[in-house]
Amino acid sequence: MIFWVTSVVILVGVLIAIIVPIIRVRANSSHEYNTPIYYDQLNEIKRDLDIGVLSPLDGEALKAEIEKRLENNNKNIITEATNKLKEAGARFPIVVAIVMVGVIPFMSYGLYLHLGSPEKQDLPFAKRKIISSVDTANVEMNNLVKKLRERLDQNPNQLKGWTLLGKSLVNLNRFSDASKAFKRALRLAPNRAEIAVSVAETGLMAKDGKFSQEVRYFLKMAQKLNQREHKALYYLGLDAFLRQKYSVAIQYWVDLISISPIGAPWLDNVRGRLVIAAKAENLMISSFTSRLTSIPQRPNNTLQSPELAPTQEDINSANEMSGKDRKNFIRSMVEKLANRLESEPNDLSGWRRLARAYKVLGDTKKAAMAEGRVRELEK
Amino acid sequence: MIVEIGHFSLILALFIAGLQGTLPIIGAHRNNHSLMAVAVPAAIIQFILILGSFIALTYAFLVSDFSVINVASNSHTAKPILYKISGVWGNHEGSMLLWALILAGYGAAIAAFGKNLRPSLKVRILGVQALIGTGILAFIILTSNPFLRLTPAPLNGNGLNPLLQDPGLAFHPPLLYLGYVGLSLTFSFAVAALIEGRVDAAWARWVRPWTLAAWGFLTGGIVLGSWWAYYELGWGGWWFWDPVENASFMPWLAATALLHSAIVSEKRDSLKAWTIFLAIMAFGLSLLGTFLVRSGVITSVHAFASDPTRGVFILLLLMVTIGGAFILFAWRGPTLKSSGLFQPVSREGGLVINNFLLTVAAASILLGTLYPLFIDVLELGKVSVGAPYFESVFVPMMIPMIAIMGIAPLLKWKRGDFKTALEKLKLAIVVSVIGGLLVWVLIDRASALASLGMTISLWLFVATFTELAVRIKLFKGSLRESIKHLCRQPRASWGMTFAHAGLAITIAGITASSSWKVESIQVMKFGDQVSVAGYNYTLKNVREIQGPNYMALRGTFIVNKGNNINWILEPEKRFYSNPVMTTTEASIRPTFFGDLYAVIGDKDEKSGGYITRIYFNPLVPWMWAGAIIMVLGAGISLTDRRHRVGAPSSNRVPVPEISANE
Repeated sequence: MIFWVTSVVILVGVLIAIIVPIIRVRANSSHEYNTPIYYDQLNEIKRDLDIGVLSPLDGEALKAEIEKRLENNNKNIITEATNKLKEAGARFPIVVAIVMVGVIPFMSYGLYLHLGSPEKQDLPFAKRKIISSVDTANVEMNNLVKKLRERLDQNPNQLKGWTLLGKSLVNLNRFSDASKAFKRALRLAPNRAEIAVSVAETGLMAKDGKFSQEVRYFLKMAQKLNQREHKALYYLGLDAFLRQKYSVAIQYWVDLISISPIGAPWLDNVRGRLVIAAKAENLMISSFTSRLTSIPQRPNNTLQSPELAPTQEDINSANEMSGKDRKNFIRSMVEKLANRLESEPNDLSGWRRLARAYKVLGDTKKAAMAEGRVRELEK
Repeated sequence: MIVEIGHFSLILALFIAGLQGTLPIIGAHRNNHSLMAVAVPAAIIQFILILGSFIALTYAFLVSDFSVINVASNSHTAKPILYKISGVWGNHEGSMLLWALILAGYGAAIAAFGKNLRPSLKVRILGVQALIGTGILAFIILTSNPFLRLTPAPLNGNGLNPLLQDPGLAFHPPLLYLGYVGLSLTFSFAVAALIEGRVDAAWARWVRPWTLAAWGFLTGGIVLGSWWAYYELGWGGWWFWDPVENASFMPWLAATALLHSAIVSEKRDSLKAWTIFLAIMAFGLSLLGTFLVRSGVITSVHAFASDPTRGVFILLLLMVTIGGAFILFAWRGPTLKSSGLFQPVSREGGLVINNFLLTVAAASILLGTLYPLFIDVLELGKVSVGAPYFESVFVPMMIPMIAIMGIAPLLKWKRGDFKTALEKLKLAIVVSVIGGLLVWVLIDRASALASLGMTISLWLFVATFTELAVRIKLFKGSLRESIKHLCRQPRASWGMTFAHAGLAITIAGITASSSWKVESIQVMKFGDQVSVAGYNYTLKNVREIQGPNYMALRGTFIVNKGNNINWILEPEKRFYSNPVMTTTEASIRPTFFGDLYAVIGDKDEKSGGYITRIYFNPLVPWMWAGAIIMVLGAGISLTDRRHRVGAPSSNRVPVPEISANE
């Protein structure tokens, strides 16, 4: 509506400004416009003579020439005046002009409606609700987390409840809370290596990737609990690497590679750093490359960040919740994953998870779409 | 709403331009003052409407409104604010809008300030200007509309080509366009004069300052572009005879010729047909330049727009505008009377020869630029015409031109005396010949061309100041007298002295930098030292830094020479992610005798060092300084009251009463 009002105001203003002069008739003589210029030129010659740029002789010649032009010009004024008298009757019908002006609104709006989008509002980035779907999901998540937390306070011996809380808090980027939740879970199941790793990992994220004594403690604990815990090996290696204890890092990482499944996404990253570490230690890479090269590598895979998206386990644990909560929970998880994949459309494993999640939810159409994308990426 | 109003204004401007291009011309033909009266308000309204639409687009860029396709494909939220603004004209659609804005701006300037122009002439000028505007606006709206919307809007934009994210290039297009499009005004003057069948005093008086202004902007724009290429492309070159560079150089040559011929038209009432011819050609070449750049027929650093429908549209526009003007010229040109006769040896004579040389130079560059295109279109294979052609054709023409440039100002109008002029130039002859010989003998790697270049540079420089000395009667009378004369020199003469001296300095820079460039490419580890042209460069370190929207490797060189000099050069290699691209930022330390120029390249994985390129570019700062002096000359000349637009002041000579009813 504002658009229509504004555009009409502009249009009317423009038309008035054009029409008024057409109606107000004026007359001018034209050659008189030249006269002051000739006088000015004469003046310039006089000045040049004064400062001596021109010799008096040249000055006279120039003066004569300009006076000649002035005279010609005066003749023109007289002939023009007589011509004007003759032409006075020959007037282009002003009506035609006014009709031409009158057509302008139709043509302007016609072309504009063809090309423009009058109904569209401006969409400044700052005012956009781009994050909105994520935000609303977060609001829902926050509520769910709150409820879960209350339930766990009343009934603190639910192991799955605490791990679910931890993972949900990770999704909300509340890492230090997540770390606490995982600690509670670990208290209930002190021999589960993957929970110990989660404590360490969230602790690490809470401190922007800085390894604290506590983090190291839980990583070592996880590694003791399970020698084949990938993440523990990776992080222990990384810690050593960052502290420039390259030989220690090499040890952890060679172990990690040897137990990693074929095509594990972290391999490229680990292998890259391993080479750097080996160089730093002046080790012959060949001493362990036989093992490295025997493992087939896939390009374009980097180490994935900790699992932020729902896994089968998440979905199972959600099964323990009440019907409505569960549905909401799963939906928000899946939505979050779908959002992330929109900005990172090349994340193959992400799409796989999304497809699986949609299947679980029974949304076969979306599942098929996600699977289509998986096939595309697999090519 | 703002975006849509911008779109609507643009469309309205198109129809207003159409009206302005028809009614006043009909009115002038039929001597109907009602219709003629449309021109002035229409010109001003058209400008306001386009300005509004330009502001709307700028707003969309500033607030990152990605529902506008143009913004989504050329901007990004992470871009610094300067480049959000320059992003408006950093793309095809926006730059055409800027073109149209400047065109309408010049028209509005004539409408608002042209009070001493004869109404029938003024109205025709505005009419022709509006006809060009109609073509350009139709082109924008129908083929390159910057206001089209997108649903749903993407989360973020594609970003601006990082090569264009640079202060030098942010202002290069506006300056260049002010020059290009400024020539549209002289074109309109020319066509209006042809329609009227006469060229009078006011005409010549108006053409000169507008040409001068357009020429100044064009020079500035070209230099800024060249300077950008020099530091951004990272190989120390500043002119590549790239078709797009040629596209701006050809109108410059034509405008230079036009500038001089307009002086003759004004002062001597002669060369009118020639001035008109040059005016048509200069604008024709700028339209051609627009066509070359905007149609994407050429693939080069600059040609980032491509769409065949656009190319065909501009080509048609070019043919109609220029073809029509030349037909009109063929028809009406012979009727233009010139009263000022002159002999071959005279100031006019010198100007004519140089104009001819400039025109031929522009034509030969045109040939070299278009030839590969024609060969390509006719499917005769791919040919590339490069620097060797242009240099071997262009340079020989410039040598006689500069020789005449030294003498002609010392010749008198109408009939001059060659001998007397040469006698006055004894000093210039001696200095330039000795200078050239010294270069030949003293500098190793001095080619014949290099010493010739230095000779003509010295010749032009000394001759220019000789002319000034003659004008102020230096050594002819007392020193005080001369100083008095010096102070009284008209600013237009100062303009000439500056522009010619500036060109001499630029020629010295061009000659030296293309003859004696020192180059050294190597892999350097931290602490390694390289000596280039007597300066020792030590690579201290290379580190990663984070820019506003890029990551960069920044190398630090410490430069020593003797004990006094201890400079730091910090070239960068930048990695942009939106869109993905790598740019080099050379680090340059200008000195009086040349630029120290360092570039950091990729890491050499084998040795762990970095590839570095270090240059010494002799006298490059002279080139820029000379160009700035030329632009300054144009500016000084523009302030001369004899050039200034507006009514001539009448307080010095009683002007007979003017019975204008305005």
